[in-house]
Order: sequence, then C-alpha cells, then structure tokens
Amino acid sequence: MPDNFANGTEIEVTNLNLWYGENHALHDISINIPKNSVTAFIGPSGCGKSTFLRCLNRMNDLITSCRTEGNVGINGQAIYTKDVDVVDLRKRVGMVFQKPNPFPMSIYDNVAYGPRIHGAKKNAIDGIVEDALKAGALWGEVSDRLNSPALDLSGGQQQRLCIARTLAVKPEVILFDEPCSALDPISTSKIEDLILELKKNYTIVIVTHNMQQAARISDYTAFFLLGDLIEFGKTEQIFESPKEKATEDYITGRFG
Amino acid sequence: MTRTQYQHNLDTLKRYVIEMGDKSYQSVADSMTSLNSLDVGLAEKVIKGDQIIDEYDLMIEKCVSQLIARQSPTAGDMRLVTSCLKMALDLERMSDLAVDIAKITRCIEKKHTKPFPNVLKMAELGKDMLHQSIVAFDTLDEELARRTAAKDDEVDKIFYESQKELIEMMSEDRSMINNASYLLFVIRYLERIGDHACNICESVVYVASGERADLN
Amino acid sequence: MFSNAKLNEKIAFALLKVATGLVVAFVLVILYYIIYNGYSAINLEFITDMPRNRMTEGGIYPAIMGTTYLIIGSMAVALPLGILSAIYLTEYAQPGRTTWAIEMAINNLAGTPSVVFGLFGLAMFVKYLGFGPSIISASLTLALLILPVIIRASQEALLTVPKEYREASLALGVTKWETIRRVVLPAAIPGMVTGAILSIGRVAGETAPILLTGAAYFLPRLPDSVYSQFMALPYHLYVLATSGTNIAQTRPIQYGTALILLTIVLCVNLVAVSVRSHYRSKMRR
Repeated sequence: MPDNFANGTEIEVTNLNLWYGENHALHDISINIPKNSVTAFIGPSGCGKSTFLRCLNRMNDLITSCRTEGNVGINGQAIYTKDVDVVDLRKRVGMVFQKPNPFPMSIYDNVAYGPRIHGAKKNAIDGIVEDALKAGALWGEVSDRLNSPALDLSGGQQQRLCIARTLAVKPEVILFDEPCSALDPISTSKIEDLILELKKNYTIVIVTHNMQQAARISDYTAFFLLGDLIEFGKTEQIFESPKEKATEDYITGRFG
Repeated sequence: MTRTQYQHNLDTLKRYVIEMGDKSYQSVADSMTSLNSLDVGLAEKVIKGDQIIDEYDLMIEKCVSQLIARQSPTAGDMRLVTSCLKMALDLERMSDLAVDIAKITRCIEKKHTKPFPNVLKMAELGKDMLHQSIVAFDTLDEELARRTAAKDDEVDKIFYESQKELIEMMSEDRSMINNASYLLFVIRYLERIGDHACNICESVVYVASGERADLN
Repeated sequence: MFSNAKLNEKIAFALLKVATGLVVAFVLVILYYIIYNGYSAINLEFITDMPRNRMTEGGIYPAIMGTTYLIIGSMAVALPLGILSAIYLTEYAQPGRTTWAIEMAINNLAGTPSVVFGLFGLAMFVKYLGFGPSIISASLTLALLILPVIIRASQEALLTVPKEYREASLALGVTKWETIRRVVLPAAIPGMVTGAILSIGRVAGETAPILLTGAAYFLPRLPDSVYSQFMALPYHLYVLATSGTNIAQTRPIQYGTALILLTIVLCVNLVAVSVRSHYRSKMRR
C-alpha cells in the first residue's frame, strides 16, 4: 500500500473500525491519503466507502447508534480524541454532498453563511464571497445576480455553489460524496475540471460510483468491499493492473 | 456474471485474433512449402490469401474501436483489447512476410538447388513460435509465452550462420548469386517472423500479468 | 379480467368524487344557512355596540373583543412553548424511555376532552394560582388545549426540513443550535403556521373550557385587565340559544353571532395562509 507521497501525507487512518449498532460496517481500515492530490473511493453500494468518508469529518457522530474505534489523524492531529472540537474539525474538513443542497437563500448568502457564523468581519465578506465563487468556477455565471435565489440555479451550478460555500470556510481537506451522481455529463465535466483545479490547494477525497470518473480525475484509488479496504494504489495501476481479483471484477463491471 | 454483451464482444475479439493467428500460420507454412517444392500454384494461393488476413485485421480494429468507445474496458479487459490491436498488427506483418516469401518462389530459378537445411530449420522454428504464441494467447499462459519467446535466440543464431553460408556460397560460385541473394531475403523474413512472434509473446505476458516484459 | 379492472377503477373514482362532493355540499349548506339567517342582524351597531335589554337588542362588541383577546393570549403562550418543545423533541431529545413518555403524554393531551381542560384550568389557574375567572385563566387553559396541536404540527414541520440542509450547515463547521436557528427554523415556519391556523379555529370556537375559567354570562363592557371576566362569541351564542330570556326573539342575533364567529376564524385563517405562502415562496420548495 503506498504511503510515500510526493506532497506528503494529509490523512492517516490506522485500524479504524465502525459499528452501526450491532452491524460491523468498517473492518480495520488503515490507509494514508496524500496531500494535494485526488483520492477516489470506489466500491459497490453498501461497501462502506461513504461511511468511511464520513469518518473523516466525523459526520457519523450524527448517527446515535454509530460507534468507532481506531485512529484518524488529519495533518498529524488525531480527530477522534476527546479534546477535539468537532465543529472546528468540520471547518478544516469540508464536505460536498451527493445532491446539490444550497440553502433556500440568495447565492450571496449561501457563500457568506459559513464566514458570517465563524465571525468574519462585515467588510471582508464581499471579498470572501467573490474569491470563493471564483475558485468554485461560478463567478462568471452569477456575478450579476448574487442576490437571486440559489435554488433558481441549474443543478450543476448549485453543486458548484455548494463547493464555493465550502471553500469560503477555507478548509484543508474537501470530501466529495458522489458529487456528480445527480448531474448531466456537461455539468459533471465542469465539476471534474474544478476538482482537478482545486487539488493544487486542497486535499481532495471523492466517493464515486462512476468508475470512469475515478479513473479520469483521481491520483490514487481505494477499492472497498463489504466494509474492507481491498486495494489501494495509484489510479493508473488500479485501472490497468489491479492486484486483487475482487478489484478487477469490480472495475471491469463483472461484480456480483 | 454481468455485462453479457460486453463479455460476448471480448470473446469475439479474442476469437478473431486466434483465427487470424491460424490463417497467418497457414500462410507462413504454405509459403515455405511452396518455396521448398518450388510450387508456384501454392505461392499464388498464399499471395491471394493475404486479403483474408487484411480483412481480419480490419475486423479486429473495428471490434477494438467499438469496445473502447462503448464499453470502456479497464484492467485485464483493457490490456486484452489494446494487445489484440497490437497482435493483429504483428500477425498482419507476418502474413505480409509470408507473401514476400511466396513471391520469391515465383522468381526463383527452377534449376537451382532447393533451400538448404538451415533455412528449413529456421522456418520450422518460426512456425513453431507463431503457433505456440497463439496457443499461449488462447490460454493466457504466461510461462508458455516466455518459453516461446526464448526460442528467438536460436532463430537469430541460425540466421547469422545461414547468412554467412550464403555469402560464402556466392563468393565460391558466381552462378549462385541470384538465388542465394533471394535466400538471403528469405532468412531475413524468417528472422522477422520470429521477432513478431516474440512481440505476440510479450503481449500475452502483458495481458496475463500486467507486466510489460521485453522478451526480444 | 381487464374490463373488470377498468370497471373497478370507474367505481372507485366515482365513490371518491361522491364523497368529496358531499363534504363540499355540507359546507355550502351550513354556510348558506348561517348567512341566510344571520345577515339581517349584521349592521354597524351589531358589531360595535354593547348588548342591551337583556341581550335581546344591541350588539355583541364585548364578545368579539373577548374572543380576540383569547386568541391573542393563548397564542402568545402556546406558540413559543409549543415550538420550543417541538425543537427539543425533534432535534435534541435522544430516543428513549423519557422521550417516548413525553410523546405519549402529548398524544394523550391531544385526545383529552376540552371540558377536562376547563376543569383543570378552574382548579389550577382560577383557584390555586388565584387568577380568578379571567382572561388570563381562560387563555392559559386554551393554550394548554392547543399545545399538543402546535407541538405536533411544529414537529412535522421540522421533520419535513430536508436532512441535506442540516448536513450542509453542520459540515461547514456550524453548531447545531446555529444550524437550527438559521437554516431549519426558517424552512419550517410555513408548516408551523399551518399548526397555528388549526389551533386558532379551536381557540375561537371552544366553549366548555372558557365557561369554567372566566367567560361571563352577561357583561356589557370591555374587560379592564387580564384579570377581568369577559364575554366570548361561542359562549354568548350558547347562552342566547339555550338560557337567554327570550330565545325565539333573539334568533337573528344568534345567527348573526355565529356569522361573526365564522368570519373572524376565516379572516385569521386567511392571514395565516398568506403568511405561509409568503414564506413558501421565499423558500422556493
């Protein structure tokens, strides 16, 4: 399993186990995720990839029956110890969801939402919003109607708005949970281009059902099956010569 | 097993390559027989037969394009698909070489001595390598592919020996120059056939293991 | 088989149509009946004047105002209390015995007959807390009566706020309370308003609880404080129709009172509906 990355390691996971009540959903996951790269998690539905993604910003805490064991470190800092402020962690590790979910507010307010609550100065917010929308590759399309409702945007624009909203909080890591599964191919390519652009400044982890998407945009790929991490390696290796038969069966579409 | 249509397309592609391999083998074998027995009729058959092999080449190319465009093969499938394209190229070249040999049968002077044993030995080796490489592809037998490719050393050895013999022959007997120079071409072609068989063996190793081996 | 299915479809559809038609017909008949009998009593004096001559003449102004006070008073208590408990129950309470017990209590409260609330209000507010028969006692009693409705409606409204909004906000490193305040509540307001609409109708129409906690039989003046007794439309109607001095003579006044009561409920509902649609259009979903 690779752990010697050109840009260094961002996330270190050792022996992570997770239970939903009695259901042991993740088994002894150990993986190192590289900095300033795109790492894709692939695997069939229910394999635990989304669950694992949600361990990285502790979104699983919202589920009462969920229990974890093991260590997750982000930039050398353990995130499952008692003294960690979850709210603070989620500022550092942003998340973009499957379904575009802008708030029912204006475009401007959506992006300003996080910085405002986190106490950004009033006169700084205009700049933050503009920068975030530019980094989210949306500025050109919305700069003349920042006060119109976010829900009037198209699905792809909404998703880029959600990315901009996450960027406005200035995270280190951005988790993408199947960000294109509700989008058409053109919007999908725009998001993919954006992700490739973002990896210069952020560490990206993306869960995707679309294997071609993983092949197109990721530097590293991890394959999950039934709660186990089966194989992790450079994307070019995983898609050309996977070592495990299960990986090969899955990425060639012969699974099940 | 899912993706039935996809699997069917892959199976078809593989069958085309194996069939093309058989045809190319037949061409090479027939061209050598025609040369050995100076059978111009058989030589004409080989020359005409090249058309079928070109058709196979085209079919394989179409099949590969369709698979890439519509099924996005990955991993082992992707290695198979790209290798089939390469192997088709090698087989097509071998068949062209067989045509070249057959053309020499047409030109060579009847009164002249038949090809001497070393040339026939080279031909046997080349045919064998071609045959074994196709068997290795059919069964994705990496070991067989490596063993087969190793035989190329012997082909090369005989090639240099024969070359020397032919040149000596020409300097001893000036009347031999015409036919011997034809035979020089023949051994050159046979040597190339061995190289193409090696390429096929490399493709087989890549399909089977993902390793890009240099067996030549 | 096929034609049978088609026939069944037709029968079911016809039944549904008839049922809906019947409901509409009943409403129209009641409305027509009340308007037909009541409109002659309506004039400016009727709604702005005190009752006179043992309630056989004059207006019903104190009763209109009494009912208005009750609506305002009970809403002022029940809305914040109900919405806050709904937020606690929906967003914070861990599922368990206690939560289950609270939910059960609310359900039972919703099913309790209103006269029982009246008796409780009499014992608790009128006697024990010493408010006496008064607007405040009656308002608090009515507030308790509509509390379960408001809690239920608010809970439903909170539950219909998409999980995605909460997740999006939490994932931005925003606390739970800020998330509720800034994202969940604004999105839930239309649903909560619906709950309020339902309860306003009840507050305006309930008779038994106010009868026991402060409604006056006859009081030809406006109450001067929240500790005063008051007149209210439904009780006034009841009095006129059952124990007035001259039931037959006051018939038009009775229908007029009913018409005013209906109009008030209708107006309040209209306001609430427009508030709801205003928020809905702001939400765009």
